[in-house]
Amino acid sequence: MFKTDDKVVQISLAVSYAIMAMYAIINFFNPAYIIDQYASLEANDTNVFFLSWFGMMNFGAVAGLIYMGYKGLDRAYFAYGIPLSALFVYWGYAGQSVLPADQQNYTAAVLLGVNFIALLVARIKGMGAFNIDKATNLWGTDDKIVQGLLWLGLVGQVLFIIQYIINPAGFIEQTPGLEMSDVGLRFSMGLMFFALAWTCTLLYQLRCGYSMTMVVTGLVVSTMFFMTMLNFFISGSVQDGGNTQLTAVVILNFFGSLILFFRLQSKH
Amino acid sequence: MIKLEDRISVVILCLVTAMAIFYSLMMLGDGWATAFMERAGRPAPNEDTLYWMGSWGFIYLALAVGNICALLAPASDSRVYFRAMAFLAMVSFLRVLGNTIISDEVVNYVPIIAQLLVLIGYSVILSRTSSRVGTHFGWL
Repeated sequence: MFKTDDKVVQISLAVSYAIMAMYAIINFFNPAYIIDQYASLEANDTNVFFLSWFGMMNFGAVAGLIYMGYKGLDRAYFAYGIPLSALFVYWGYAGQSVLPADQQNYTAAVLLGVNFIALLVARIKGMGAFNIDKATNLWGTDDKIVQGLLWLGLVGQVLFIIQYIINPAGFIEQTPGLEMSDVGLRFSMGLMFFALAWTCTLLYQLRCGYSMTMVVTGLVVSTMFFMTMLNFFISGSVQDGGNTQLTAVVILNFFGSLILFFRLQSKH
Repeated sequence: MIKLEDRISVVILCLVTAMAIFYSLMMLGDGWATAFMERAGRPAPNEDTLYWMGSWGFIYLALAVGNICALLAPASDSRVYFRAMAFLAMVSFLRVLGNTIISDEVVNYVPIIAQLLVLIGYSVILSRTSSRVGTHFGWL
């Protein structure tokens, strides 16, 4: 697996896979379980919405690990996974440390810490120095459509981060049905962390060339978001037309990821 | 990455996969499953029905993954899978057709149309990938 015989790398990534898959399945398919485990989480639609979001992002990470399992290690995945894990260790710790001692639950922070260490070990043992080799051209391809879509992705992530910095509550305010609360704001910070990690890997790919691992990761995430959005709309559970910007981003992301995948897949 | 040689079959499999993922999520979300039953003109599901619908959701998800695996392998590796899926699609279509014929009032034609499209899709894949055992319906 992972096109390496190094058992440390294989075991580290297996650990990362287990943690990501567990959180993907629980967050997406059974958010009520997570809500039961944390005194800070109330059983409401806002928390279920954000937990499902995190679950879908975790499914993307799992897809990336499976892809690397067959095709070999990919620096761009680590440029995404390592910062993301580190940010979420902080996120998990900060969220619990403000609670009274008897309500604190550091399970997620600890497991994400283990994930961070596992990814770091796999990266160092499997791929050596953290050098950033320059590709022959931007994004490592001559395909103008691919370049354009990747630029759009990068600009979109940066805009999301800027929007968060200007108004951290903006996402909740713009999404009908979501309730404003401290927990909701913390979840919003989590979404910004995802955008930060995607920005890291996209900047890496801008210089070193696109990564098929991240294209597959993005395709899995965007497909799940698109199908979830369709279900929200068709079931009539979207209030007041929903968040127009989010809808547009989900649609663009899905079709952009599809185009990227089908234009690049024949080379891999 | 995609090893299935026939482009039309790739397109059909991608569309069926998208449909399977959509149905999977719909069956897995209690609110979405309830809305689906209402659209289909059925009574609101109780806890047991939702449980079984959730199980169907995971089956749909497994079929979507099966389709993705078939996309990533040459047709010669997936022939048994295509035959099984064509049979499943045919049986499902016949069941929906029978239910539609005997029902007093058809509220929604989407399930029968969707099931027919899936059956035609898998039949076309069978033909184009030379996966048919015999020559029945070879024109499709």
